[in-house]
Amino acid sequence: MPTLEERVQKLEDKEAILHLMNAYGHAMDTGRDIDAWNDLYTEDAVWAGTPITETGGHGANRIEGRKAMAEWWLRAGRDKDAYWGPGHRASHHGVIMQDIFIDGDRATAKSYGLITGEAPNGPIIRVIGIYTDTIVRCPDGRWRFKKRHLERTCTTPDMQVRPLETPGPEEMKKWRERNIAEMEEAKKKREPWKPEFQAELAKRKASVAD
Amino acid sequence: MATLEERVQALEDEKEIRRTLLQYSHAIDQRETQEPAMLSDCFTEDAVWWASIDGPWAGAGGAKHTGRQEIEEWFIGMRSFGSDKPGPHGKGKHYLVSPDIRVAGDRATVESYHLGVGASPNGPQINSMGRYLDVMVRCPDGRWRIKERHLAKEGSSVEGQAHVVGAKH
Repeated sequence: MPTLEERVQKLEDKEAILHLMNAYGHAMDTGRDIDAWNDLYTEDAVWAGTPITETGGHGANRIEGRKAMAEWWLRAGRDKDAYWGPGHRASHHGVIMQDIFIDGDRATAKSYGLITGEAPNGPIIRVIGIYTDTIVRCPDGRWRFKKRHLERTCTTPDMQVRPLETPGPEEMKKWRERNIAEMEEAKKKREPWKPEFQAELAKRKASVAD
Repeated sequence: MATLEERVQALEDEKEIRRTLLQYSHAIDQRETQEPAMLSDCFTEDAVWWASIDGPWAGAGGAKHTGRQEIEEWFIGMRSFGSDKPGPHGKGKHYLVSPDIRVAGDRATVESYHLGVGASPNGPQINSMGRYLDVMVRCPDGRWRIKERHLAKEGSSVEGQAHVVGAKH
């Protein structure tokens, strides 16, 4: 029979792990804070993901070690304000259905990932998948990812043609410029007071009524 | 070193905070059958709910509701919205995703993702998305309530954009 102390410890561990899983998304999506990102991982952490699709994905996706994780994070320029313009603001790495098993200083967790993004017609779900994590208690008492695996189960076509490796700043700039131009163009039609918007809305409503 | 009592208190606080956050979503999504108090109960007397628009897809405008009474009026106004199902927000759901809760004494800040999934001609889609930035406080009755909720809207669908964020309908 576990003692009260042990039972409380287990609940605390669960909360700490939930916090870690949620903090991953926030560090990725607002994160101008590289330290918050680094702090999620053990020194030897491995991030691995299945290729985006069996048919169109680019390569395996594997990043080994906290240092490589930081380089990956910085590569696109996440530490710069310019990165967080249109095309990235609405990218969220959400997790739901966290299922956590703790065994001493080690835990395994499963969760559903829900990754959103911006597209010309509004927000979309870009990727859904299953995260399988190995999370360990570090000497400082904090829980960190030792291994994070994402099985991408469904993705949008634009993800399937995009290289998995984060592009460098130059490619990112080009990609973003194209993205912004596309969105701005679409946005012109979307402003509610514009006749084109009203016409499209009426069309959609009519198609619902049919 | 925190006592066992303090540690249990911290766990209870997190649970209570989560409960209030969920009550908010469930109240709004069951607005036709629930009393407005289910929503206003999530807020302190002097609470502020406001939305900002961030990003090209964020919608037609912002809104602000101050105090429980205004929040209840807003709730009642929302009832008519989506009643022409399966219209834009017909039977939509407010998902609360990845709440990052930080408690400091009687005050907590929470950052979470807002995901409004609702109807479209092609089935469910994201009609609205963004971040909730909350300031919550421990009230005299022990409940944690929202003192300030800032919805930083980052995206909305074509349907969602016809809708002024948080407007009194």
